[in-house]
Amino acid sequence: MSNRIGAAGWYFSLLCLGLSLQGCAFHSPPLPAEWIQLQKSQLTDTAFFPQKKYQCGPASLASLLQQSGVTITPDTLSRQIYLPERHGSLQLELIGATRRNNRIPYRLQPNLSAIARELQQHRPVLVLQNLGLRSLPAWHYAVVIGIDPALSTITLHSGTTKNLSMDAGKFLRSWDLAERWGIVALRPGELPADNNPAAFLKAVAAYSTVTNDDMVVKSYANAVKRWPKNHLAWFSYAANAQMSGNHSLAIQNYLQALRIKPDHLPSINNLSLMYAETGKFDQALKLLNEGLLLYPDHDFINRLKATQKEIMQMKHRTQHSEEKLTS
Amino acid sequence: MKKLNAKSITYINLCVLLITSMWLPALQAGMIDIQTAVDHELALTQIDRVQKALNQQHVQEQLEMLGVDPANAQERIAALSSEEIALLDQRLQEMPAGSGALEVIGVVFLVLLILELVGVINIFQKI
Repeated sequence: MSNRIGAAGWYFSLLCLGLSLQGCAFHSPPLPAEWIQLQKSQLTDTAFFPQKKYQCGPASLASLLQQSGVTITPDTLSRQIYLPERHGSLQLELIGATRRNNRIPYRLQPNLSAIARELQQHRPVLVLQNLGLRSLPAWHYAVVIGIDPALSTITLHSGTTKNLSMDAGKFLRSWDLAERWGIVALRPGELPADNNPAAFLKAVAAYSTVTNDDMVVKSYANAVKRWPKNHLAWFSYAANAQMSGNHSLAIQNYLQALRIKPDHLPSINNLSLMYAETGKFDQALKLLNEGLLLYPDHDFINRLKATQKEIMQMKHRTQHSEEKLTS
Repeated sequence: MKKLNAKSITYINLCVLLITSMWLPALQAGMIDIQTAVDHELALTQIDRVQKALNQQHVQEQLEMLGVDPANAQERIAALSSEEIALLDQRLQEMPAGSGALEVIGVVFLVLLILELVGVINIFQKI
């Protein structure tokens, strides 16, 4: 009995401390001004898996992946993301597991409009919520499947509840306490609704490094269509072509990157290598020399110098063997 | 015994990597990959091979301690970028682990009860 009181007392003091630190955080934050202009959407066909104990991560991710055309169950995902001793799943492991199931995990901008725009593209959003306090957190994953500005509600597949309708302000509070973390699963070739090419290319690059999925070329091809004035998109498309042995496409795309940003050193470095591989050593060295003059202090200069040395050696070797042949 | 073997093998691998990296020339020729170029554009620091191997080893140990079997832990780590592995290495203990709404009810009830007691809210009046 005395033990029980002790525990209760401990909780009480902990909570009082929490509350005093928390201040007035119990009030839901005001909804953003653009909230009322958001479009109503309900993805009612999103698959729902009621969660088992501690398994909101696998259940939510299964829902997200199913909607993206991957056939998978929470039990399979549990092996990929559940941490027994933590009774839960980490955000980074959800990201890893999304990749393992051939989808590109993409973190959204931290606002409700970003969620609304993804829903418009028929993509549900997996979110982390803190249903407790900042000082006594209760972490929970759920899938946002709908937004209704007129009713001021957010619809979620959450825990064991399908189509849970939650007050938007309350949702925002729980999302705020989880640093507004939310991801979508993109098929290779699919583009996110928002307009952030660097973030997208980073997500795709991480995906392709980990999975070696050939389909990823579609993501790069669509990125240059969507952002034709972005040198990084052209560079990425080129580097992907270079790695898969498509020399002419790689050269063409590096040139395009350099037309947009003539001093892009990674493009200069890689393009000179492509020239050298096809025996155009002088063209390669000319390009490198121009690049080396641009920024003597740049991080990539050492890489360029090493490439220059290598191409000069390649050139000597080739000339040597040609002389041998003619003599 | 089996675990010990797996561990010693990873340590041997690490040593080999450390030694070979000392022999590598300081300048690295070759293609600049997409991740490097994008990270540079976003002003993110690069994680080198040796650092990545060390991070991987630490994360592997931590996941095993949290109840994941070694082979499974390896597969999970393989799905992450070097940057993500470094982040896990630094912050795994404090990172949120989402578990579920059901498990939360106890906490929420307690919070509501305390709030009632200190007079912030007034929902248990009719009980």
